[in-house]
Amino acid sequence: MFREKLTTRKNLEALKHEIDLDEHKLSINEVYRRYGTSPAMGLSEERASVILERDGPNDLTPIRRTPEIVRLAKNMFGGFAMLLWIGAVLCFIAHFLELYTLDDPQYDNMYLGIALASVIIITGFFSYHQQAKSSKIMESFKYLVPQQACVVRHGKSRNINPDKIVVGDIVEIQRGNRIPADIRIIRAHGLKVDNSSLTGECEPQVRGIEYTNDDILETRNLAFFGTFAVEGSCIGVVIRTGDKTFIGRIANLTAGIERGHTPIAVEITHFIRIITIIAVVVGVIFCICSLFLGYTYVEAVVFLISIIVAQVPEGLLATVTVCLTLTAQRMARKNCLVKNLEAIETLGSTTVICTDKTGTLTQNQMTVAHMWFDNHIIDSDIDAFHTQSNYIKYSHCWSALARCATLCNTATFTDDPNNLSKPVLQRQCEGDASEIAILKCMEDITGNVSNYRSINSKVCEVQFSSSNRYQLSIHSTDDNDERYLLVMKGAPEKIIKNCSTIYVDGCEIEFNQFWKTQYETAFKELSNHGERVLAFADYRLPLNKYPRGYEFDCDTINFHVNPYFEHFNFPTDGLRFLGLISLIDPPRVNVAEAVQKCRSAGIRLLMITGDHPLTAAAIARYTGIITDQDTTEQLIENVFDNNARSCVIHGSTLKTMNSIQLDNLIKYHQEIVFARTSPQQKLIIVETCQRLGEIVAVTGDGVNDSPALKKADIGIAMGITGSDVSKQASDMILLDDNFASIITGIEQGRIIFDNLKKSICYTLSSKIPELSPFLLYMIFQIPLPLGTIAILCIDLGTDMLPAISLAYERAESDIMKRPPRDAKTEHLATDRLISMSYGQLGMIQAGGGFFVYTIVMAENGFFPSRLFGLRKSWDSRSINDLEDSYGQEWTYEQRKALEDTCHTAFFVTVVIVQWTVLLCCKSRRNSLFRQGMSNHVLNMSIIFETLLAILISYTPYINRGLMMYPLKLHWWFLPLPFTLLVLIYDEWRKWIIRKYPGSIIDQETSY
Amino acid sequence: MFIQIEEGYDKNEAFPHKNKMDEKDPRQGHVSSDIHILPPSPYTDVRKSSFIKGKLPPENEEILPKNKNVEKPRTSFLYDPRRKTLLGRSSLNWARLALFYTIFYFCLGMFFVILLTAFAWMLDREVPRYYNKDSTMAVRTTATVVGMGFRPQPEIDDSLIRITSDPHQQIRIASSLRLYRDVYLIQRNDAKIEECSEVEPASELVPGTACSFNWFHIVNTADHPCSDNNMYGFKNEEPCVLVKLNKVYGWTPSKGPLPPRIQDLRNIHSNKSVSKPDVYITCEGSNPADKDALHDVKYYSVGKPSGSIKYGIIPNYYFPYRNAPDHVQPFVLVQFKNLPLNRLISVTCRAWEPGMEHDSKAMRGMVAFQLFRSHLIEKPNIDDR
Repeated sequence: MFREKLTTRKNLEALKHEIDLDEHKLSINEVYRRYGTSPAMGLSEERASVILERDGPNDLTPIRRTPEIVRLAKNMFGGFAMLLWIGAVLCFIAHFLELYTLDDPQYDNMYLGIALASVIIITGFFSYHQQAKSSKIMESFKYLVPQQACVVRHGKSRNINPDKIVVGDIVEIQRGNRIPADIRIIRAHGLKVDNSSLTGECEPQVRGIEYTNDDILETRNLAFFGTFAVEGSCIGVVIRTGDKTFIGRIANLTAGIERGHTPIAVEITHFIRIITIIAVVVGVIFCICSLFLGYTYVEAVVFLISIIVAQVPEGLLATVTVCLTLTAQRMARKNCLVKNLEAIETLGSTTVICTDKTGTLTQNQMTVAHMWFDNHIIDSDIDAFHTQSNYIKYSHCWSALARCATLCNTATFTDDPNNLSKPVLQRQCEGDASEIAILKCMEDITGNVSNYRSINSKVCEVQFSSSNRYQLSIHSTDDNDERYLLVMKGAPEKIIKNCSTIYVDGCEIEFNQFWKTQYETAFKELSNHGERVLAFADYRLPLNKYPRGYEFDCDTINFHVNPYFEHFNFPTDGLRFLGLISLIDPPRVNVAEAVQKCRSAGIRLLMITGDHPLTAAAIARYTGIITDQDTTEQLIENVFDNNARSCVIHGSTLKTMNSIQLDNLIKYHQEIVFARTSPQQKLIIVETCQRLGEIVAVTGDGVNDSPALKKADIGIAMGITGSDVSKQASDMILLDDNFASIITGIEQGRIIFDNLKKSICYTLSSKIPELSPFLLYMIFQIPLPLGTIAILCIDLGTDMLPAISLAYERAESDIMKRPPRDAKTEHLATDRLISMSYGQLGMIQAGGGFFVYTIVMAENGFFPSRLFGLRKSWDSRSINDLEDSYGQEWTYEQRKALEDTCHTAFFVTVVIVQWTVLLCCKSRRNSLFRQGMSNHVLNMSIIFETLLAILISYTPYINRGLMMYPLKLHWWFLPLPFTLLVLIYDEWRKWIIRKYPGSIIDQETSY
Repeated sequence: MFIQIEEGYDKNEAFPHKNKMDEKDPRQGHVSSDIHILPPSPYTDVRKSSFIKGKLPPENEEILPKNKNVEKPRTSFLYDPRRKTLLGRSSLNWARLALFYTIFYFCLGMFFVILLTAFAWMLDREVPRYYNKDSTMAVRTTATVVGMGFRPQPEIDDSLIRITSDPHQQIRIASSLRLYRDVYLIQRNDAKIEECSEVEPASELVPGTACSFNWFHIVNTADHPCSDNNMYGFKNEEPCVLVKLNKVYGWTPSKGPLPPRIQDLRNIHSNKSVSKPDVYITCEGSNPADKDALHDVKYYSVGKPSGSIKYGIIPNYYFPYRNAPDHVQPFVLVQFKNLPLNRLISVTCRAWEPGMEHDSKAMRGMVAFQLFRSHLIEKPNIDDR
């Protein structure tokens, strides 16, 4: 067992290392040789089956699902429930001890044991149900496997089930297919793959046969299992299958990660420890006392157990669960779906948020950000456009640029009337992400692009390819110009080479050094914003050379095969430069605001992205994750400077760092952007943060984020753009993908922590009035003032709703302005909370209880002087004529009726004093008058608990069942002095705390 | 970064470099001063401590002794010898806490005592605040529940009366009854008492005075079978058991026809309502077998006829009980003769009057005890149980 664990841990460590893959560096023939295959013939069926036998099928090991029974058991026996179980078992032990040793055994301990067991079971089922409801088991990796894959075997291509694919197979991939395994590309036609789930880059990536980068994700000649071929087609040789694929490793890594305890679980353990220590200490002290008082050993043991069990807060487990559930529901209404109840609080104590960029901070949708023409950079924000509309309308240059951008664009809106009726930004489109962005922009500004395109019909086009890095098309225009128009778009450095003139302010002038400098400045500025810049140019083909009907030969096919083919029968240089359009995947609205709020809440934000450092840094600046105004280059330098606040670090640099350096990096820089990070690195970053004692939240949407999501103290996935894998690995899902929802989550998490504290303070305060009657019964031998059933009525009846209602309490101060709680020092239950709850509120309640007990006894004839030492006679069935202070004689039945009346009165007293205890627990510092009474659930709960007490006391059959008696009306008013005392004392205490911070009252009583 | 770190390690290992180091990093020696020259950050106000710690260059960490001691031993939460703290509090801290709670509990105690005193001041010492049907004595019924008692009862949690031939045991059990008699059943000469009769019932007495009734009203001669000299019958193994109605403030037998059982015993069958009925006491075996064993029972009561073998009578005029200091609760002595040897007999005594309710489970209007007659010498340790 242990060995097994050790080996899995070893495997996990291995998985954390980067995938070891060098096939992209080898020549294609070496790859063939390695896998014993050939591009034409593929593998033979026999060999394929041998390899299949060796490597196993090409699918991912399904995630081991926790059996339902185990999940249920976790809810039944975890943490708090365990404490109650121990309590229940002790109860049964005590009961059997009594049963076998006493002539007249009481059944109280048995009732208590049964009540405890039922509480655990009911609460267990409840939280299990909650969990099952919000966490859908998704076997999401399955969806990544393509339905059919086309492989070449024995020289023939055939469709086979993708799980039969083995390394060395030659696969053919068409547009729209999922890549069935990790492949080295042999041949590609305009292939573009969507790697967003692996890297977080939102644009489809061009793939071809060239080895362009050492990094396996960046090199062009590899395509990965589970990614999507959005355009083009290719043939490739399979180099990794199944769990060995890039995604397979991530999936296994994710599945293998075990998360530590949630902060709230740690807190509850801490709380249990405190409660247990107190219970055992008190129990042992009184057990020894009882021996000195002359009780037998068996009695002493029964007392010991009773005292210990009496301190188990029966209702608290249910209270905590319901409080968390209520918050979860409240958050669900704000589009945060919480899968794991305990995670709610985690968000509140989060100190670091590691956020993914693409899809989380940004919209994962390319949008036109800026344009440069007429030597001006124009913000393409629609609003900005309208303010500048006149300027634009009369700019010749703008119309030329717009014409070029509209025509030299292959993206189209999906032809569907329903789709076309939508607002432009929401329409479905087909084509390249940046082309779509430009299309939408043009549609928005000029309107009716398709009509414009049809009247300026396309004569010929050269598609964009990774090698030429431009695209051009030739149109016949409708502006009464007989000449053909050549429009070209592409990478600026490529276009600039082909231009000889520039169009400025309606004049075509020479593209001289001055304008080149101007262009450089603009280009630099735009790309420093992390924007992707495209340049536009056009050219009127001379009518004499290229008359109407001229046969343009674009030779696209030829062009693709030989990317250096440039022998078109028309010129592609000497063009007129029009301007630049820059694109960016813009941050979501509200993100900057949310980041600012995180800041003021004392939470650090780290950006971890697979994207390019420049883009990452730009978005980081835009959203406020980096507040340093230095250039990105400087920020990259900052990695080595521990005094710098911000830095940007590249994944390749990160790879060279050891754990100490990593610790220092994260310790000394407040604002860090990790760019070009691999999933493994994301995981390592999260681990480093955790090692430094931070509570880490990770947001992400891609497959690449899932190990980090799983490892984080709380993983937050995106509901719309998020991959199923990431959703499965996370604890919380933002249904609207809105980063700002995290703020709500943090706020709710912090409120619930505060409110749980209040709830615990409230619930524990009734423990002393429940315990002290028994102690006095034991020591002073008075008739028992409060029985077990009454205790259960308080704990599981009247106290429940008020304790839960505290979950609805609003925050006392602006909790988003204070730093997250320090998990090391700020605990849920502190000694001061216990001292306050037990020693002060509890004692006042107990005082009230004994006061009412004394009066009920006295008014029925037993003066306090008579009560002391009476226990044995009182509890003896044989004594049928016990004399009271008025000489009256009471039978056993009558005495017990009186005793039960006292229990009822004591119970009612606790309920009535709890009114103000509840009001006091509403706030920890604020006066009640400032905190207000706007929590209507709480107000209702006070009425409810009182009605419940009335019901229990007066309803004929219920009171008989619960051994309660109707009370005289005026006994209900007896607790009021103590009720007021609680209020006055607590207001005074809080006033001292506010007025003299640091005073003895503050130090000893503020929890 | 790597270079810097390596330099840092060098510095700590080799001091000759210290000058160079100081030049480069003037903050090195003054841990506290480097806070001030830090660039402003949005976190400084909220995360000051971690921020300061976090901003220290790595080489500083070894200079700071604090960081080394962050890891406390596990037992330190109980007692930390270094800081001299018990459960995380120093002695001063404990003293402060003790002071706080002393004052707090003193005040709370005062509050409690004041309230209780005020209440005690208001409470009537003679008449219970609630009695009879208003009191809890009524349990869940609307009528008063009146129980009964028996003596001698030497053990608090036992209702067994042992009848033996052993003189020590006889003395023991007799002294139990004698003690009870001396405390409860004697009226001194200076007692405020008046003769009660049907014309002058207890209900018309001046408050504070009691009916003249005591032990000697029943055991009027020294050679009475239940007299002191006879050890209340225990000497002759024919025990007299004292059976009485419980004192219940203000309770009187209620009007109505006599219970059929008493009508049978008296052989007067009449369903005529009796306005002031007496209370009849009967004792019999709890079970049929016990009934057979108890064939010789004699009742000595103040009401006539004393020494009846059918029932004892407590006259109506002794009720109600009004908490007079010299009140003696009327009782009946039941003598059990010819008890079988070595046989445990359960006896149930009932009180009868028109409104009396009987409930054997709750012992309403009745009392049960056991008799055990034996000639074996009891081992003392059994009795000491």
